[in-house]
Amino acid sequence: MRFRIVKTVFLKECREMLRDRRSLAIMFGIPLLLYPLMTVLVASIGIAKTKQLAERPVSVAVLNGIQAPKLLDMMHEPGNGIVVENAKDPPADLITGKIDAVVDVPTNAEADALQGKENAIAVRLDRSRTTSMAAERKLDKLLGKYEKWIIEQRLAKRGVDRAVLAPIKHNTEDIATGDQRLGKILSFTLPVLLLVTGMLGAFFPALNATTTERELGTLETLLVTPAGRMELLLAKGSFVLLCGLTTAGLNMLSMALVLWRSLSVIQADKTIGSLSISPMGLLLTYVASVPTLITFSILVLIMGLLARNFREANAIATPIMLIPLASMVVAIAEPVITPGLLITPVANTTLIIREVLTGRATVGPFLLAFASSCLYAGLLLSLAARVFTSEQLVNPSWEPLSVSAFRRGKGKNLRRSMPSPDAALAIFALSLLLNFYISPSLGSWNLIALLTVIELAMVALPALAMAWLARYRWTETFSWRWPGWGMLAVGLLVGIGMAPWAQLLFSLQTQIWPPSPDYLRVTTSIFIEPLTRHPILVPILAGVLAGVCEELLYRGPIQAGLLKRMPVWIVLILGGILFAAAHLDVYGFAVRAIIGVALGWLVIRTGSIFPAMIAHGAYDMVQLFMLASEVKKQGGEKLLEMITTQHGIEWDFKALGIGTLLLIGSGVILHGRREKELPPTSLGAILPIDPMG
Amino acid sequence: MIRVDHLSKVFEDPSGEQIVAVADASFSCSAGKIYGLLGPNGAGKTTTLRCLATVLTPTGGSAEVAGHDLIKDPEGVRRSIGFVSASTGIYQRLTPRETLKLFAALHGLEGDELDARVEGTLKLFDVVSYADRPNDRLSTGMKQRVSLARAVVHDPPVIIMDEPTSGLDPIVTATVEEAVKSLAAAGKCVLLSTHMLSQAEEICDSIGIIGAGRVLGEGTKEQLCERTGTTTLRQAFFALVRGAGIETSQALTSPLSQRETD
Repeated sequence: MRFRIVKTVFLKECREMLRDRRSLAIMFGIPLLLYPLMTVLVASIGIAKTKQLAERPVSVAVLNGIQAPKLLDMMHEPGNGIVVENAKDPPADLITGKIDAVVDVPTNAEADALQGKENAIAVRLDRSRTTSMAAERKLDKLLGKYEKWIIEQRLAKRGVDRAVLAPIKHNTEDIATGDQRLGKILSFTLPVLLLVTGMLGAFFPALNATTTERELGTLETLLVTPAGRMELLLAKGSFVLLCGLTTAGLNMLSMALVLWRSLSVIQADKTIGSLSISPMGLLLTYVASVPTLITFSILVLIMGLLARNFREANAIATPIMLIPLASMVVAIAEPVITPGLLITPVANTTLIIREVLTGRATVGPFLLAFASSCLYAGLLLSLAARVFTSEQLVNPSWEPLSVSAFRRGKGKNLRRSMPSPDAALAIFALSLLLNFYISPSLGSWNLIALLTVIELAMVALPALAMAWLARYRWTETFSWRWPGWGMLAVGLLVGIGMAPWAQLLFSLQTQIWPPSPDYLRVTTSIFIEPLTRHPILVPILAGVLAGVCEELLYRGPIQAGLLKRMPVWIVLILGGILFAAAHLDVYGFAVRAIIGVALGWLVIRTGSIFPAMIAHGAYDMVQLFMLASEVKKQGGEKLLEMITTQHGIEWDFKALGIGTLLLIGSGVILHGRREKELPPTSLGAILPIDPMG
Repeated sequence: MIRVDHLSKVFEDPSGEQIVAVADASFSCSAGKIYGLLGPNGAGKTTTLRCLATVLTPTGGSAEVAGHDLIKDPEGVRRSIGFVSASTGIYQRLTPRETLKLFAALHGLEGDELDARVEGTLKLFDVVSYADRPNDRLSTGMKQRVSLARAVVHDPPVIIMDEPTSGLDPIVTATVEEAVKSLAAAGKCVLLSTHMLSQAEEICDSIGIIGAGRVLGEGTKEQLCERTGTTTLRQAFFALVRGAGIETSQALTSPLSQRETD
């Protein structure tokens, strides 16, 4: 990478942008002029209107007013802002807006009220008119006063002191600081503002740096210079990012300054309390949004690279520009922060900004949201690099967005490929997001249906669909080879043998890091009722589905994709981590990661996915059969109670002994198999020797 | 300077169908000479030039530009060529001087050397009078001069031009042709594509007639006429094209002509 070339192209992009009024207007004009002007305009109009409404007397027609003489007297009292009109047709006048309200008094209203009989005075308003708010407020106040007078009269009649009406006073104290109060207000608008303006700021520079260059033919002249494509992409990407970050930063600063200037007005309202802006909060907010801003900047850059012309780029941009608006939905919904949400694109940034602004952010969630956003940015950057290094980039008839890309070819020489690491991570992200968003809405389904849909549609389908669309080489991607009966037996022995050891590991972990009883109750109770009803079917079905579907995904394109660029031991660890992370179960993470590593190793060692499928299925079946047996022995409720109150390490020596024997047996079979008999692994030339020695 | 040996380029469309843009192209061009690739639309001229400019990777064959292998040393190839595309390919918001400085810097020139090369090239192409005017305010002829100046600012030994006079009026065309001749006279190896028979006849030292992705014949006008038993370049061109089984109508309506802007 030659930074001199990157700098040259970067400065060229900057020079062009500084001469483009449209980009300048969006980047600087909107934040520096629009906010202050809009604030002044809205504030001055709003204040004037409020003052006008407060000072304007409310016109009220009273029907049957003779039945409530005291009320009429009160209405006529000066200074209450109410004018009683003698309207001929009050309902019609209310509709036309000649009067603001009609007060309808029932017969003998006041007399009955004084005697303690129930009565109701009707107030009619037209809430489609702004004046109705003032009318309602003033009439509420007046009727409250009238109600108090009635009660006082009733008490006096009974000889009771009016002091009994003295209410119990209460004081409400807000412990939030000024920063937190303003932070709460800002947390609704700031995330969406940052993301939308950042994306908007990056939009035209991105199109100028890509689509326009291609249309003008300058991209081709740039590509035939000694500058490498990655250097050009870095220069253009950095420029687009600078525009996005600058626009977002200026918008945030401008909004904060405008709010700060408006504080004096807002602080006059005693119900809100004092407000202040924390510079550190704003800085952290900006930092938290940077990875997502990078993601959006790269997204518009890719859009520019894929679009054949400016018009097409605009057409694609419209729906994509709606993505940042999702943050507004998240801000309004105010969900509780969960690990799942913290890894969800856009939502994680919105939530962490809220936590930062309200002074409740902690290091863990902040880093999780930041790191996951960085991951998405990295994935998109990798996609941008692929598009930019495509030799079709300057082909005017290239149609990367054409649906014809999904048409299956009939050519004899179709080129098939292997998944890349970024494709592997993309499939993982897709499966994870599908699971996260769709599974909660299936919560009312029974376990069998739920497992079937999740495993087939959200785990296996993304892997198979991606392999089909991207034309991966099926055999190598999925290690789809017959391993021989011996290796299938190894899978079975490993799966069953792992079960007691996994149980022990989890038990050891609970000594160091005890899970909450609620966690144990929830994770166990979902199986109790189905296992009570179908103690055989549920374990078998769950084992088969998880074994086949999860292995297809994690030991299929994910492992094959990672193996393309990484050493085997890193792939095994990373694969195990991804496998465990996808289960969204923080307490089960360590055990699942180890199992994931073991299954990944099994695929590499045997060269086939089938032993891992059998091992995975057998492991799940053993665990569920053991649970079903306990359910049958103890009963569901008692078992739940035992699990949530149980302490200490479970040393089931008999099970551990059997498990160890089975694992040793699998090792003996594997060892006895000569290396030359092993079918070719998915590693191909990368791994000519047995990785585990 | 340029040696092309059985070069081929095959594209794959979204449905997996393979499209042969260049089937088998072989030709060579030496320093101080102008080599013209003459062919109908869709013949594979642009694809061949893009392969030689390293924008596209050839599917088969080999090529060498100024001693650099196309596959093994693409950056060396790019350092040695100046490329002029059918469109002028200049930045609208930059001035001619800035354009030249940008491309000189991308070719590794710095400091005084860069300034001297830029000023010299501006003078050579008579661009000085409007060197600081934004490119979008220049006439088509002026833009074409800037485009040529941009391509040679780093003094490359090889110039590749893809239909450099496409869409230009006769006066500007003549100016460009004169510039091309002067570049060859200065010892540059010039490879240009054209579908104008008169232009090929007028300025090229050697002509390669290309059709359906193959070089059907090459040599001087006289050599081509002798080989085909004809008296004019036009007759020789049609004889070679039809001899290869390519009908003119077929050449114009072939799938490739829809996909390539050649």
